[in-house]
Amino acid sequence: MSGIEHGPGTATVPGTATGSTEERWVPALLTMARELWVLKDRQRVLEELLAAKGVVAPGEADAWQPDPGRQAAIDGECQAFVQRLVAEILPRAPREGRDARGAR
Amino acid sequence: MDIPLHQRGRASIDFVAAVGAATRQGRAAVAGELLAVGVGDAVLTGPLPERCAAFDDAVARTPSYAAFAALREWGYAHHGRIAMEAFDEVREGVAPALDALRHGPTTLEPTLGDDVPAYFRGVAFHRTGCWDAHDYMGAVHGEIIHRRLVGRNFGGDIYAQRRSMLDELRRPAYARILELGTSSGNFTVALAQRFPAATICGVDPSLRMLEQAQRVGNELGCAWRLYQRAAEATGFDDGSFELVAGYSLLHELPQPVLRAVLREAFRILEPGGELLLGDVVPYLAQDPLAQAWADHEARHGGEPYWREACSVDLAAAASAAGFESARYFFAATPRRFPFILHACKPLAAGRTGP
Ligand SMILES: C[S@@+](CC[C@H](N)C(=O)[O-])C[C@H]1O[C@@H](n2cnc3c(N)ncnc32)[C@H](O)[C@@H]1O
Repeated sequence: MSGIEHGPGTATVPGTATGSTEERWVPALLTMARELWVLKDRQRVLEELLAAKGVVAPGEADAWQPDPGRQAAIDGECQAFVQRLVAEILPRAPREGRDARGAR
Repeated sequence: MDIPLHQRGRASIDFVAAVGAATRQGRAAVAGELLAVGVGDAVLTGPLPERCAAFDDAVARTPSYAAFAALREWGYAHHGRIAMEAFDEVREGVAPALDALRHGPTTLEPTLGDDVPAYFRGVAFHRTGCWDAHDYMGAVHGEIIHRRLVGRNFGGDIYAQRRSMLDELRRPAYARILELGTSSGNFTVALAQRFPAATICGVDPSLRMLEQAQRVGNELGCAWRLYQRAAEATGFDDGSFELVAGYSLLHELPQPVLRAVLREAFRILEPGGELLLGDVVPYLAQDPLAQAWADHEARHGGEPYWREACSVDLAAAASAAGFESARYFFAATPRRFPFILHACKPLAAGRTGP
């Protein structure tokens, strides 16, 4: 691409890393929460397969796929799970998050 | 083309999507806090770089910013790797079918070799990893990142907005169409469905993405002709096409390249031919606060050329390239997306530029 140079762009403008406390611990928290969600999901799949068949063959949990309705329900659960975390992170937690905690 | 994921990959992608939704909520909280302290269009004055710097300063001082930024950062830093991992978990099972789909009526010419443009090579666009970051990157991006993540979080039907863009065209049919920035073939599908009799060619510098477009074309039984070439140097003869079209390419280009793409489109269109390009909302259609938000998010989201591309008035640039009747406007979709450039090559035009 000789002859074509960059315009006065943003290619080299860095992000605004603040080095905040959040920047250090939120990633760790989310990485751990991902693992926890994977396990929660796996447990649900296993329970479902066991309830239906009494026994789970190797690979069956991996192969299980939700239909669109099921996927929507899982998405709702996952969002609620992340929401409960985020309610602890954001100073102004979403109302549902606060209410859900208060209700328990 | 569905790629069924194993449980770990599937649940991980669900989790990344949920973090994306939470990030949007965080952004809304920050936006509210900014307005509450009076940071809006009225105070964001002066040239764009200064306005954006003032915005960055103000936004970083809102109470929710650090948490929002940390959520956003996790998504950007991890989504590409998690999608590649999810693919790798099922690779053994899906690779034979994906490889088989490389064979069929859609052809792919890998022509660039080491001549991949410098502004493109190795750049981690969207922080996903560069477009060639994985040996099945087209499948990873098209089927996991785009369909399962972008599709879920963008709001609205990301495929329907490609189809509805074609309503802006003047003719009921086109015989020869060139698509710029074909990528994994999402817009190519829209073109092929609307114009089933057309010969459709596509160019993109990313071989990995074109390989997926080839699979998509073959799966549909289409005879697309795909070329690993850049939109600003397509190698086609003057006047080769009746329509040159593209979706979501321009904001990925440095400004001089973007202008070169318009000149190249003009050259390869026949007189009377049409240009139709859909992309992100440019700064000329946004108020200062919206510009500053878009610019801020682009800098954090792996969009190295966003500011310079979004600063161009494409209607004026198209006219400068020789086009007439250039219009640059919001799509009539519920989300008013994409922003569309439509222009015509004059019937009286010579085969090369003005
Ligand atoms: C956001 S994707 C395009 C999306 C696609 N059209 C669709 O409908 O899903 C951007 C694509 O532009 C390609 N690209 C980047 N620079 C290019 C250039 N100079 N010419 C053509 N394509 C380019 C990238 O490789 C990438 O595949």
